[in-house]
Formats: sequence, C-alpha cells, structure tokens
Amino acid sequence: MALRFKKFIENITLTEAQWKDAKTKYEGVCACLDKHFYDSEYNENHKFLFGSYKLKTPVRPIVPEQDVDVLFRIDYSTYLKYQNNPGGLLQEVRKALKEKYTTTDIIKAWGKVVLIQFSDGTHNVEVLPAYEMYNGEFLIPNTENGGSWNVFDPRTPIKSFQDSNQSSNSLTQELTKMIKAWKRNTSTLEYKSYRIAEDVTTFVNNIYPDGADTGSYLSVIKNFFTYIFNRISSTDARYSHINTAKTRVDKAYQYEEDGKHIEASEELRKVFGDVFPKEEENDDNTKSIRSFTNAPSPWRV
Amino acid sequence: MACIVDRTDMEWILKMQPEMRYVDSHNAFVGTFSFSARYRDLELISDHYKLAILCNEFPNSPLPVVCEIGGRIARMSKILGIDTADLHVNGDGSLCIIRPDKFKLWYPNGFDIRIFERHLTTHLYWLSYRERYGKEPWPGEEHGGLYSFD
Repeated sequence: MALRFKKFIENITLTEAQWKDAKTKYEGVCACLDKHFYDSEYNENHKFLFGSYKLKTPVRPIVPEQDVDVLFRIDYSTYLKYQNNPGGLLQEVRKALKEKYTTTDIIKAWGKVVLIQFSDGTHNVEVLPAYEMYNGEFLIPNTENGGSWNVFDPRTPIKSFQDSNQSSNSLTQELTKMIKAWKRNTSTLEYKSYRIAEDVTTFVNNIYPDGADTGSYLSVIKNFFTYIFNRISSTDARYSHINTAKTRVDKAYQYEEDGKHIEASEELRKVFGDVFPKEEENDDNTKSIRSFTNAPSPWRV
Repeated sequence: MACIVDRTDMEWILKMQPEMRYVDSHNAFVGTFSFSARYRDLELISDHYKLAILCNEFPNSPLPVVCEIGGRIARMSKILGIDTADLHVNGDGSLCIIRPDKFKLWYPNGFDIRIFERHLTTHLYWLSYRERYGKEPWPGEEHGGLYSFD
C-alpha cells in the first residue's frame, strides 16, 4: 500500500515543467503591472503568492478553473487615487494587462480579482491588486455592493498550514492534495480549496501532529473522512459525498486487511479517480474468519 | 490466580498471531494482533492493533493486562469525539476487557490462552465496529468500579 500511495502522490503532484509554467505566468502578469504602476522591471517584492500555489498543493492534471492566486502590491498614492473608487483600480489593472496580452487571452475583472485566462489552456492567473498595511494585512478592492475596500489576511492561514506541514513531515501537504484529488473526482461536490486546507490542517494537528508513514496513508484517509463525517451536519451539502467516500475507504481498508489488494485499489479509484494506481495481485493466503455469537461486554471503569 | 502461560500456550498464540513475539524478560507478548471476525449477522471486520500483553503485570489478576501501544485507540477517541473511557481504556492505558465479577462465566476453569485470544478478538472487533459504524455492535458494560475478581 505504501508504494501505491507514493505513486498516487506522484501522479497528482505538478511536474517541474508545470511549476515553471505557473511561475512564468504569474511573473509575466506582475512584470506587466510593475511596468504600468511603477514604470520598472519585474520586482518580485511587489508580488505575494497565496492559495494552493503558495501552499504547494495544486494537483494535476491542470484543469481550466485552476488559477494561480497572486496579490500585486500597489503603492499608497495608487490606493489614495482609488480610495473612493475601488472598481476603478480593477479596471486599470485589466487595461494594463490588455495592453500586453493578446486578444486570444481572456482578461476579466469582477468582484475582487482580475483573471487572466491564457489561450494555451494551462495555468490562469488571478491577480488581486492590494495595498499592504503596517500590520501585514492587505486592503483589497471589492466592486460588489457599490464598492469597498476589504481587509484580507492571507498570512495567518499560510503560516498555520506551513507550521502544521513542517511538524507533520509534509503530511498536511500530501493529505490536502489527496483530498483535492477526491474533490476533483466528485464533480458535484462543493468544497473550496482553502476550506480543504483548513480542515486538513486541523485534522493533522489533532490526530497526526507528528505525521504518518506512507504505509499508513490508507488509515490516515479513512480517519480523515470519519473525522469530518463526525463533525458536519446532515444538512451540509458535503454530507452525502463524505459519507460515500468514507464507506468506500472503509471498504478498501477491509479489503486491504484481507489481502485483497486489487479490490482495495478499485475502491480507492472510485474515490480518487484513475490517478490512484491499480493493483495487479492479491495475497495468496486468506485469513480464517472467526464467528462468534456471544462475547463478554467491554467494561468501563 | 496468576495467568500462567506455558510453552505449548506460547507456541499456540505465536502461531495464531505470527506478528507477535514473546518478550521473555517481561513475560509479555508484543506486536501486531490481527483478526478477521464477525459477530452474529453483523459485518465482517478485519483489522489489526499493536498490543502489549503483559502476563504478570498484576500477580493477583487472573487475566493478562493488555495495552494498545500503537496510539490507535487514543486517535480513535479524538476522531469520534468521545472519551477513551468510552472505548474501554483504563486510566493507566490498559484495556477494560471484562467486568471482573464476570470472569468465571467466561473462564470457568481459570485463565486459558485460547479463550483469551478469542476474547481479545471480540473486544477488538467491538472497537473496530464502533469506529467504522459509529455504534456499538453489542452493549458495553455501564460505568462503575465496584466489581472485583472473585
């Protein structure tokens, strides 16, 4: 099982070329904005990466809705210029980007972001122009409800995730990717990436603070679904999806314990899709089943 | 009263549980205890626990003291959001596998390793079932510490 989970993680982890492509895309966007707002070359201090590319948890294959989230720091004078017209800033960003990117690339501005959809069908970039305050939080323009500036603090969840990941020996990161693969394989499930990262962080901090070996990842997955299932309401839109995943993973665990690796991997492919590797062989020996109709009751002191 | 494990018993349990080993210095069996069991018409459960079975921890106890050493039950209690006592773990980490006054009912001729191995299987089945299905396969005993071994 350890080898299969290792291969599974490998199958959903971005390749070096994909990481390079993401970097090229967001640096290109920020370089364009540097030219426009600062009349300078690309300055990496003006960008602040957040979301899954910061947490290193994006999964492949790359899909159209997969965005690199980046904040672009504006200076105080730009903030003052748009203090009473936040939507105007998004339009200026959009206009600046339109000058660089060709007509085949799509640039949209709405809500709080400007989205650049590249025609090559790979990474998109979602850029949020933001003014950094003295306390490290950001003010971001929001065009909804007549327009306003909202406080945005991406640093706290990033730190919490990274601390958990460090102490758990990368379990937080790997489990987040596995849960994202499940989400992707469950088309009607609504489970935002940031919420997955939050839930996984809480779970790992509580249950596996020191991490887990790849050999016990099936137990980790089983425990994650049981943990979440025990904490959500039956009215939660995720409830039935989590219940289904839990049942399938429990079944896979049972198969695995019985040495039926082929059946176990088939169950896990129902959960994660064909990114989970197939197993070709079962164990030869089968366990004998003990049946009992009477048993002492476990006792509580 | 003491639970005596002779060579035949030892060979038998190590054959039944090949991933356990006997630690002579502590008169204990340590390792992975596996089972595949079904209670009445309930679901088949195959599972394993890392255990230490200490045969002479308490000389006056007719049963070995069993401790789960893999952290599984502690994790289970956090995952299910229930106290470890509700998963039948004593304050010292040992498992509450039977109410002492019911010992004679299950062990009419005193300690027997074969009955004990089966007994432990039923106990672990109970725990795994509770974890997987969120309910007890049969009722556990109520709280209370007034019972003693006869």
